[in-house]
Amino acid sequence: MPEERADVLVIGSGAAGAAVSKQLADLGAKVVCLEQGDWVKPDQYPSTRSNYEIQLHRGAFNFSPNVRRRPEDYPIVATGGNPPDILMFNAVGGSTIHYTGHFPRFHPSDFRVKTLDGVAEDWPITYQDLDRYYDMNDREMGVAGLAGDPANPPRSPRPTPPLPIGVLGDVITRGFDKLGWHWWVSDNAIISRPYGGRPGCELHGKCMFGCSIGSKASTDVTYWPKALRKGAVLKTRARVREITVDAQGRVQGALYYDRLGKLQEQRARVVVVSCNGVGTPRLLLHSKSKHFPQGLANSSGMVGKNFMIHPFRFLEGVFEERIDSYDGPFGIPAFSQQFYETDTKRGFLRGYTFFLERSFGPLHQAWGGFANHPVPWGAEHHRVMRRRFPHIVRITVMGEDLPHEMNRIELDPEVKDSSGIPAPRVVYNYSSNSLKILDHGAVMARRALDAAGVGEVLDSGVIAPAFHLMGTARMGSNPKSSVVNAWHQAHDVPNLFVVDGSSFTTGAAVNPTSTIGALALRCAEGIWRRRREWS
Amino acid sequence: MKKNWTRRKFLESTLKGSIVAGGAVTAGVISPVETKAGDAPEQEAAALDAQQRKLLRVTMDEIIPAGDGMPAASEVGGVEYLTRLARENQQARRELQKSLNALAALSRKQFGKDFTSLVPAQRVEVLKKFEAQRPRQNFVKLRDHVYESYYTQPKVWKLLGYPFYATNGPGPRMKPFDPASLERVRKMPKLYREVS
Repeated sequence: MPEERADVLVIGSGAAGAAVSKQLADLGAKVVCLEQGDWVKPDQYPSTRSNYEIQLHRGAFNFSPNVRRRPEDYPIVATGGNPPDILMFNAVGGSTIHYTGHFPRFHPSDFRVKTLDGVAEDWPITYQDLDRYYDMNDREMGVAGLAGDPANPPRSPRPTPPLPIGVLGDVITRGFDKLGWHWWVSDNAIISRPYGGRPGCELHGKCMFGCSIGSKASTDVTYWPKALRKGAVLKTRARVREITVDAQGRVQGALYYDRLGKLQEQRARVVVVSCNGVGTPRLLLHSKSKHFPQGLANSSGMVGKNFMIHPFRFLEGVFEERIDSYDGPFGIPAFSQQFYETDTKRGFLRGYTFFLERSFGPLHQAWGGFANHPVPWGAEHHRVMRRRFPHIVRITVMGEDLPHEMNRIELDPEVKDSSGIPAPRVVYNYSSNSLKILDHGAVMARRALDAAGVGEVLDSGVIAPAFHLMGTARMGSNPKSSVVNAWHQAHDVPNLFVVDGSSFTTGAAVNPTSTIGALALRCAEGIWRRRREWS
Repeated sequence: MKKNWTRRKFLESTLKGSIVAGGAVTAGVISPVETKAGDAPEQEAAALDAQQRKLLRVTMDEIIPAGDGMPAASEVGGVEYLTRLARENQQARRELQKSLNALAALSRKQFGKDFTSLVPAQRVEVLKKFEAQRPRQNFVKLRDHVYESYYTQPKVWKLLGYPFYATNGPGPRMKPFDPASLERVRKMPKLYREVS
């Protein structure tokens, strides 16, 4: 027997699903959310334990589902010329459980890539359309930062003051100052003072291993308590197998496996899919029916296509000074967008952000750090270890990845999860534009490190793509080249909405989470505005 | 034929190019432990036999020898840590045993002797050859496990000056951000493109 019909069924409880659920519950909708993961108790976080760094190699909090293999995880097959090492988390709060908390916004130009630079597609919305939702999301999540950055449009005063940038920030920004380059203290979804009933950051510096005091804004501690108070129902360990459709081709709910592995049905007037840039196309492609033989909302063939993942390159500078790079919030202390906007003289389109970043502890440094240069064994070991730790400042180059149809998510014909649902298969190749961006960024990062007085530079070179899953059910005005419209409504199915990283038309060169949250709030308002159309 | 995603081969194939060094693929978490040298209970001993533990001890002290005011790996309980890890974690046990067996075989091939019987210069020579050998993972796993046994020890952190702050306790003090440091940048012209 299907369960009582909800107004809105939200699939996924992460950055997008939580915001949609809370917003719609606030407005008066009867919301049910299905989440394949569970609540994570703060005392389960590795950041409470001295051996937290081993999670980088193994354990239940590794960033990759292929390594941690929790019961709620699904396998991801990676292939192509540059197979990604996909990082995500399945739990209430989704990947906000272990994201850094860095909370930048897109630039206005990021929504007009085709018009301005002649590549990719324009979004069907503008920065201005999203501006107030960015603010709403910042208030809900709680952000530390400082308004006034000349590299970004003006924004409202930040909910809490900037976090400390520490010795690390002081050292590296002197290089940027010497070169006359831009830098600014970052917006982080990590509150620097008590806010919204949560305590201010204690500067432990292990945000990616879980914030057990709730200063980092994972949506299990921001949106969800409010959504639940407003009557939203959150069902955990509920793994959706497929979205079901009625005789007219409208979605009517979802079939899911409950925590006992029993198949259940949840019906709803409207379905919102928020399973991230890999999980969302996987679910849509698996939801085949006579109305949608290629998968749900896929008449364009665009579901799963145009997968984008940010290209990264890490440069670690070894300084004479002792740096406090393991203290302070891991969310980015400061950033530079000196090379963000397109300048064709550089030999590539679009651009990149520099993150001026912290490090983990001594074990990670010995293993190789972010630049993957292991400390040598033997007679030189202690000398090199002492020279590097704790003397490292990291500059991360994060470039924009443009959409290409050949980069895609498919259903793997053989590998399945523990419920028998096909695993996603990610096919990915770096574009030459991405590689040129990273090369340019590495040269400029060295220049900044030199200007700051670095001794030695360790360069990761090109690494396997890993961070930020975008573009696989993209927004657009043209139903032939996109999956959802400007309000995240599927072109093919009027009561189906998709909002998360997969909705991105292009990926910009900033972390996606604040944009995902803003899009989700806007999507929720759009759904509510059309509530008379609900069947 | 259907593949089972838990199969080691599948995982290894999907984890190529991991951003973290080594990328060991194992499940389960060992609990935090400050180990003591020479403190190996009977059940721990079962994970690696006496010969393997002897080889491990000698090897880890070549990988992390004493010096520069720091102890050798075995002096901070490295053998006991890894013996315990091998007992609790099947994947780690397989990796350690595979690495140690490969190292032992290489030593016999090169010098006709057990690694533990070699003089230090010969051990270093064998380890360098081991490091250069394919598959390189045999060496990398061993090195990374030894590093883990060492750099998870609070006594080592103390010597390095690393203060560990668990997130369920107090954190460090840091100087608040000074907005005056951005005065130059505030005066920069607008860097973003206006779009209508």
